Amino acid sequence: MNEIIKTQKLCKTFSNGGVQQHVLRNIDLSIYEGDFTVIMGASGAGKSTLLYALSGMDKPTLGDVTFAGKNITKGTPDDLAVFRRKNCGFVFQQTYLVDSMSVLDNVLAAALLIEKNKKKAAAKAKEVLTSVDIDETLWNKFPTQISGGEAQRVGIARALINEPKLVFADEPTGALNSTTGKDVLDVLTKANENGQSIVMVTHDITSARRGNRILYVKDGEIAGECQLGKYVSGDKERHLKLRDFLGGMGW
Amino acid sequence: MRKKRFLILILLTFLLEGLITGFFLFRSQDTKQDTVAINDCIKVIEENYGQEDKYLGSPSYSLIDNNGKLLYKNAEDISTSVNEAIQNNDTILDIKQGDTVVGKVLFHNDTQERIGQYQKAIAVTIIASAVIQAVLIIAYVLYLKRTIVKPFDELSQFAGRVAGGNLDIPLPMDKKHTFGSFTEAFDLMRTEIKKSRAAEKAANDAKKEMVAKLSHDIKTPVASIKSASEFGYELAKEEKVKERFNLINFKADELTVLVDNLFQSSVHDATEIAVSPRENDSSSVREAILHADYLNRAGSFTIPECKVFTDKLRLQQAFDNVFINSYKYADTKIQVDAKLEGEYLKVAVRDFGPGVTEEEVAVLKEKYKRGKNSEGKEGAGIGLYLTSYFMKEMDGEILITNEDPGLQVLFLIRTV
Amino acid sequence: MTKEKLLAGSHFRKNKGSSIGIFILMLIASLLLCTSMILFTDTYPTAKKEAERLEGGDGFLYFTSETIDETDPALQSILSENTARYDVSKAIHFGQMSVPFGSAELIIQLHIETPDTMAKKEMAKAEIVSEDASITSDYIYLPYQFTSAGGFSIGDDFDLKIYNETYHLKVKGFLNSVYGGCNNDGLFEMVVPEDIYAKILTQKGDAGESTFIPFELKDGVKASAFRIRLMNTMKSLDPLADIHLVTIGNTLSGRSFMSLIIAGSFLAITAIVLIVVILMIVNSISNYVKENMKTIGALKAIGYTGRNIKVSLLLMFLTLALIGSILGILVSYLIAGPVSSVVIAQMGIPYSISFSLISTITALVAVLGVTVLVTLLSLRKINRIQPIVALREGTESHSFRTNPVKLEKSILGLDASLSLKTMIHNKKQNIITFFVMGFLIFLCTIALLMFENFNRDPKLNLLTSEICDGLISFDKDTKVEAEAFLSKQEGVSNIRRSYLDTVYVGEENSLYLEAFEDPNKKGNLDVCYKGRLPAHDNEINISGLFAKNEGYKIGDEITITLGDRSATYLITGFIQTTNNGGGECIMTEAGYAKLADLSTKSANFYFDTDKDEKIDPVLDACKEKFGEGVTSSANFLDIIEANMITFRGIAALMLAMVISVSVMIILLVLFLLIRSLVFSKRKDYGIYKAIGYTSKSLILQTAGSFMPAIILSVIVFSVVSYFVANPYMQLIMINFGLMKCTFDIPIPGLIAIGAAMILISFLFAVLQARRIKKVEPYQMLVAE
Repeated sequence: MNEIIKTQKLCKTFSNGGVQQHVLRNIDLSIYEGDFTVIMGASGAGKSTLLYALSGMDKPTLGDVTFAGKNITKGTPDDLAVFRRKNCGFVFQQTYLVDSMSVLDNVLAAALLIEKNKKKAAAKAKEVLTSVDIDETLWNKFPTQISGGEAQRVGIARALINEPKLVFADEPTGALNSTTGKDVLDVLTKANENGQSIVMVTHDITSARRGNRILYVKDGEIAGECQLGKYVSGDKERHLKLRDFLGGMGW
Repeated sequence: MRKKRFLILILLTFLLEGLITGFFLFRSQDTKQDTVAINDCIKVIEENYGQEDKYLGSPSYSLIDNNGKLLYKNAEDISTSVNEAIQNNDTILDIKQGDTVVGKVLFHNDTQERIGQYQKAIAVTIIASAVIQAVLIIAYVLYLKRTIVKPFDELSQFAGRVAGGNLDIPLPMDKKHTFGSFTEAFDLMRTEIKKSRAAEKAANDAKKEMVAKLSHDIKTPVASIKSASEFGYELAKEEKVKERFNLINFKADELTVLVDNLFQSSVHDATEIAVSPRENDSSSVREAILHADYLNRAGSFTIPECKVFTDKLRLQQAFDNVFINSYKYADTKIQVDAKLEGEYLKVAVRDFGPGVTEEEVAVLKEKYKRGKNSEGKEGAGIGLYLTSYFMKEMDGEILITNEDPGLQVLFLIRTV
Repeated sequence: MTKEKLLAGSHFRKNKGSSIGIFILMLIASLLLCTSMILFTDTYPTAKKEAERLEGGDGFLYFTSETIDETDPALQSILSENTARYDVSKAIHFGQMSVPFGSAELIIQLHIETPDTMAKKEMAKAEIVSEDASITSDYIYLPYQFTSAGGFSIGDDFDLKIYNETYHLKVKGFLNSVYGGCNNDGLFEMVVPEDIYAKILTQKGDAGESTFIPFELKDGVKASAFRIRLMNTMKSLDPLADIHLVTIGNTLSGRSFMSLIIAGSFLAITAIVLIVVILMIVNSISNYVKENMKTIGALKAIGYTGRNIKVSLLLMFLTLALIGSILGILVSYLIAGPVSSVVIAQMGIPYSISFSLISTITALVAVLGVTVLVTLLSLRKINRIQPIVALREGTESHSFRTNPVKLEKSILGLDASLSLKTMIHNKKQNIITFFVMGFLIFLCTIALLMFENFNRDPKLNLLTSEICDGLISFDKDTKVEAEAFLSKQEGVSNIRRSYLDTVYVGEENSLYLEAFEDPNKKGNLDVCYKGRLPAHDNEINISGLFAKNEGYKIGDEITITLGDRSATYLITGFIQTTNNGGGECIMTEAGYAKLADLSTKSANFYFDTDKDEKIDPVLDACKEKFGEGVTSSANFLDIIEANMITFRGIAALMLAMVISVSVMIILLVLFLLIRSLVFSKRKDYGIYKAIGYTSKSLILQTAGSFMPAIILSVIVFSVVSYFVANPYMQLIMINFGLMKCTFDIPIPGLIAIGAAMILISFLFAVLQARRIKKVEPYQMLVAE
């Protein structure tokens, strides 16, 4: 398997009023192509911090992150932004759609970063939107006019549109109920089946089941990992293995 | 950014200095007499000749008649004769009544005074701007001290603590982030060492526990052997056999003592910490408290001047332990009082937290004993034991009392 | 560019309120800028342009003589030596006549001529602006100023009083005249039919017609030198001839002086408004970035660079600025009409706004330039900010946030404490509010100053060299007796005797001299703006402008010549004058006596009365007693009244404009500030509401959090304005020849303005903060 990301002694420290808090400590980690990697851990364990450090959205305090052969801890913010266009897609818990843009424009805003031809970009955006089950009736609505689940799927479409090397998802179902959450997870699973590598942060075991590689973060370190194999709906054994793993980690 | 601002300010003061100095230098070239005022004087004298009360008071002049007799002057130390006036470059003008000259007015030449004034002004400007520059430089130095020296100081204190084995006190982040990720890495190192220490200790404890358990386990069969041998001794008829049984009994006793020793040694800390006190100034106590109180909860306090018999490093550790306990369990402000009483410098460190129960006060100094409120907080229950141990080694003592509210730890530090 | 355009549209939709606010500010900025530019580049130079069009030349001379006329060879030769060309016409000239103007009488010189004369003039032409051809007899053409400022229309009755005779005439039309068109030039040109002209000529008696010669000087010939040569020649030909020479410079500066003050004041105000507008644009843009942090974070996350985002924001603000300034410029052409008409009324020149390329481009470029500059400066941090920090709305990895107002320790009430928290949280906005409010206070102070000094209690010492109630002149034979008579009149006090003359400095310069018995007893001591007034017989004050041009300093000596006598005087001070092109001097009577035999000169007497109604009876009594001995007389209050009519109107218009602009800006500023505050704190408000705070207390908290900054600003800037307003006005006015500004600033007015500002701000803040009321706590909480 090919490595997409490799970290070396990755550290991230926050401080508040001078008191330091070491959220990530000396993390050595690889993320592989084709995987649906899930990062789990108690709240405050540093899952999201790890995700954003991996994607170059945030500068780590110490250590290196090599993403697709490029060291992303160096370089100007603009360089990184250009890098993200081609290599990263993001799905956030709060979707962060630009609410003064229509659904289609939101996806198009990302597509136009790569595809300069407006017509081609629009065609592609429509295609991706359809693939995440957002039909034409919603394309011209604004994010505030559609449901949370729909908005999240638009967010996924936005993340997928430029065919990134890796999609980062930060608690994509955190703000959704279980039914709409399932739709969103299905979309992600489908993308993974089509070869899309995904890294997802969650503290929800239902979401975690979708991954084939589970990492458990505890006190800023990778406390353990578990290989599950490809997701098959209703696979009991797989589920039990995950539960045992999490139990062992003190979940 | 700050540096730029400072440089600009300094440059501005130089510029201002130059401008003002230049202005006065330029002005000092202008030594012209005020013809308008002089004309006014002359005209007033001519119009009111003889009525001295109507003459103008400025500029300075004296009036003499054609015979050189002084008729009037409006200032001291000015020329009163034509000769004097010529010597002083004064302005000499005629006073006419009709067409006849009746006298002369000698206008005092104040060029020297004016130049003096300009020189004074220049001097004042230069001094003032020098003062401003000095203030600026001092401010900048203070600023550097606050942003670089102080964080650096904190860093070296921190390094000293880590070197001394105190891993509990974190390194605070400085506001300007002067040392970049160095600060973070350094503190991370502290936590990593602490973690491996804890792991090491856990491993040791487990080993000791195993030894204790084993020794306990050994004692049971040994007791059986002993009772069996005693039984055998009673039953045996032959002396030789009796002797054997006695030997077994004796050896079993010996084994018991050995196992007890093994048990004792596993429970007791093998390492004795060296304390080497010597004569120090009482200000070292103050420094120790200030270092220990890194969150600055104590506010201001005074330590009486005296000589104390201490080991600086151990005294530091003693205070560190007390303060860190207070931070951990009370998290309130801390009151520090010190006085000289008898042979001791008594330093009371008191917080306003929940305190502990009376029963617990008695045992707090013992090893591995912790208060009830310590549940869920990291620690081995060794801090106050060590503190007490250090103080005793320094020929002093600590006294722990419950206050309402809070807990007081009284350090009795031997004076010399 | 497509993606930036897409974003720009989205920015606008998201922030319609602020965008429209900024748009209006930009509109106001370009409006004011363009209007003042039009006033300066188009309106103000009208007098000069018209003078060129009507071939005004470099000046004109006129003389009344019984013995010589223009055919005199000596005169001919001096004209041909010095002038490139000249024109000759005849008219009747009166030195001091009273004509109705507005609601008062104006004392002024008159040139009366026939239509035929007018039509034949080749230089200094008079042009008929409008006329009613149906009026064919007993008519009069009046200068255009009579309709623009004097309240006359075509067809009105006009009573022309010449000595004891009154001619009942009808206004046939209005004239655009170079030299005789404006009361500030002291001369009106009027045209009457032949028969009336003949009648007036008989009244004039032996003196007869005067000769008018407009001229254009040869290159290198100075007007002052020409004047001296001409005067000497004429005096030698006919010592009794009454001869005058007026230069185009004097005429134009007299004509444009008021316009300049008005345009200058307008500029003074515009400058402050522009500062406020720029401050607000800065504030709005930086607020914009603050409010849209999350969107910026999301965009950065998906791969937009700081540059892309900047371009999109710049695109939006530039579009706003472009549309705003174009609209502003269009509106400025609409309002420049009325504003210009007020300005131009004073000049008495027909004028209509023409397209001014330079004004338009300047306004457009300035507004766009400021927008680009300010936007780029405010957006600098977009580049630096990490996307994740933006998504967390600015929470950095290392935070040193403190809690400055601890509720448990605060001695203030709960509402006040929370207000204080809000205030501290909005430090930057409060600082901007402080300065914006401060500049607005300053703006209002200037307006108040203008109203007080130009309208309510006109500052006459700016406009005239002497202030009095009445003025009467007697000829040389009657003056001694007349002075005694005058001083005995009931209620008359403070009689000041003066002599008027024209004196020479060297070969080329002449000065108008006014010699006072004691210049330090003048009613208007402000004429001397530097040094002191002359007190002795060898002292003199000269115009600051003349001194500057000729290099004289205080303390220098100057030699003054009159006829064959000359004397040297010490310059003790500079005076400011708006008349005679800045060529005036003042000395004592004793000083003047060195140059002339006073007994041969007629004298003026300025006097005050204890009641205004007594002025006319006193003047009448003098006229009755001395008849022909009275060479002229004037009720000064009436003259001022006539002069002030337009001035008052302008000041009132200005005040209305400043106040409406100020109020509009204050409201806009508060609208933008409070809007962004409520927006940025909506989540907090939701929480406050959810835990049971009433809307009312939240509204008061929000409004209250602005008040300390506003109140402090009002106090600080009222004091600052009180001291800075005069120097500021002077800075502007000094370019117009006013060296010393001592305008009154009424303190009660200042306090009233401050109080009103505070009150309006608070009420509007409450009104604006009411938007908190509308939002449900739940909506606020989920408004993510």
